[in-house]
Amino acid sequence: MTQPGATHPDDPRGLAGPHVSGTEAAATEAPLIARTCPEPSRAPGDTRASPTRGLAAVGPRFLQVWYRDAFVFVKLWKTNLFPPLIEPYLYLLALGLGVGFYVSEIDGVDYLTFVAPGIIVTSAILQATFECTYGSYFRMSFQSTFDAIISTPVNPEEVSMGEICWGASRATLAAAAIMVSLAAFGRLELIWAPVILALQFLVGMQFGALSLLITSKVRQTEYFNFFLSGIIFPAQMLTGAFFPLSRIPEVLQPIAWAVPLTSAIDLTRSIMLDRLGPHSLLQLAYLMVATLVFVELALRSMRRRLIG
Amino acid sequence: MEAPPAAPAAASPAVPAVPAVPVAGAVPRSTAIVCSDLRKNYRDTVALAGVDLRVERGSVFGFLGPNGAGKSTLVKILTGLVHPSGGQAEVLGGRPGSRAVHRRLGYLPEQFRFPQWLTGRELLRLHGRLMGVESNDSQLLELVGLDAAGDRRIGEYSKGMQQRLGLAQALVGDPELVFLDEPTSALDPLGRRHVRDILTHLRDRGITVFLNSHLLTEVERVCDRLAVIDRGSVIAQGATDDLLKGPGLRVRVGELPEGAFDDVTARLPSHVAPPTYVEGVVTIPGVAADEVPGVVRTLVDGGVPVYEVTFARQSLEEAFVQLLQGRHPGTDGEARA
Repeated sequence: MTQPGATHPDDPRGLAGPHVSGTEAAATEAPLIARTCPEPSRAPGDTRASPTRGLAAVGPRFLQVWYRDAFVFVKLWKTNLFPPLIEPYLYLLALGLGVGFYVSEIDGVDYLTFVAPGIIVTSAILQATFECTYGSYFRMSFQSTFDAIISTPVNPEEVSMGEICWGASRATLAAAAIMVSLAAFGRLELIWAPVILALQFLVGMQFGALSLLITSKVRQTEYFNFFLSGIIFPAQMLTGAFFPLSRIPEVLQPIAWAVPLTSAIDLTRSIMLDRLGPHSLLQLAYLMVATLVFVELALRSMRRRLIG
Repeated sequence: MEAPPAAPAAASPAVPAVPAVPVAGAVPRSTAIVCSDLRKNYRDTVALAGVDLRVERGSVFGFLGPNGAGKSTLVKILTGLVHPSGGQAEVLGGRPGSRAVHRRLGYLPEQFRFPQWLTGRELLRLHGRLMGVESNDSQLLELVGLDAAGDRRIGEYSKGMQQRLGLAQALVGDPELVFLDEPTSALDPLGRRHVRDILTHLRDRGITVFLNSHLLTEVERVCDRLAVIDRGSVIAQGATDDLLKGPGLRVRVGELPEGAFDDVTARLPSHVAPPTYVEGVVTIPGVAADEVPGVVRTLVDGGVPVYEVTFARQSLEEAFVQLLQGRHPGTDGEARA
């Protein structure tokens, strides 16, 4: 019997025979360590072989991750599309027509007009949040989808970016759905619709990134309850979505304005009520910077989670 | 019969541990995977304690080990899903996890689930987009025997069909090296045979297959080389035929009187490898045909109730248990991989 140790060098079965050239045979003198991780095998733009991290590592392949999510979503469009479409309408009915019946005017407009931007933004962030918490976690942990994707040329940053963009797309869809009914009620000038939708995409990216950051930290879905009950739901209530910020205690107002969601709601409202001004540019800049920060943090944290 | 120094079977693995890969050596193009002193620690837990491994191109390589031995950790390092704590690894001549390598790699994760409402063909096409290639989905579906079911929802597939679809997904983009983590665990015997045929077909096409499986019979039948990992170290590797001792005696016995096994072990010829006892079967490797009557007489004289004697090659399960018995005192022969 041949001892296993003796079977070792390159190929006792002759598989290697025809492939080993004289040059390669000569290379046997070179130490193995010097041959590991050879630079020539690194393709241009190969982020995983370089220290590039975060947004700088994102290439166009993130679109394929987005496409995969979108394709799977559309396959179940009946189940996936209707609940998110119906929910904002319920808000609209309950707050706009129900509560609005008792509120004659608020901030110079009727209550439905006042609350509409709040419903648009809160519906958008909820879609992005659920997609990038439960949806992403399911794909990451239960389906091993991310493992299969990362073993292709798609890198972890591109996976995360695809997920965030898909969350933002769902946010935009939700916003679009409610805007259709607002237009029917005469509460929305259609000319502003593309701008509002673009803004909801940005807000969706922000909350998608924040949610993915949380997803990268949790080990079981129950922890999402802390995030949703402790951050997302209170944020909806205290950032001017359903009543003016002037109604909350003065001491809390700077904190409320520090939350980017407040700027998102106020900016959406300014667009819809034609109240844009210099402060709107500041708000937009703040939203963009906050989104960039969240995306960068989410991408880096997800890489640590996906590649242990 | 000369009585050799008594040595408990458990202390002498039939397949000796080998220094697997020389640290200083060549990495010719015929080598698909080389690991050298590869280590991984998770805080205080050592998952890999310096793994040396070499996998030749064009081979079907079996990777075995008990639960928690470090199998999945090694596969994840080689597929770029885990960073090693130390040591070197090279896959297809490049760095594990690099895009250049991943273009030529296929991977079937152990615990995968597919969206139930996609069709098999749609899943392969989506994976093709991620690989950046035009998916040869019809060919792949035919290869794994799902050509008739390719346009049905995955939710209608049996577990075995889903596993074969996973295999097809790992083959999207014509990879040179495929990592398969437990690809036959959910398959019935016919399904397993089908996968075996596929793996043989892949080998014939020059594709390297790294097979992580706990189904030892499957590994024995399909793998031309294999390695066994335990507690983070490779304790044996080589050609399957070389790792399996044989021929030898397989003796089905009744309940062993106390001390009988050790007594008989001590009285066997010195050149015979130490016997093992697994679930009512004593295996004695290295027995020549003309020695059979003498060995059986030794067993009977030693009080062992002999029911059946077979002259056969050692199975992989027996080799596996022998290896681990030497390292896990008290292991009762339960074959876990």
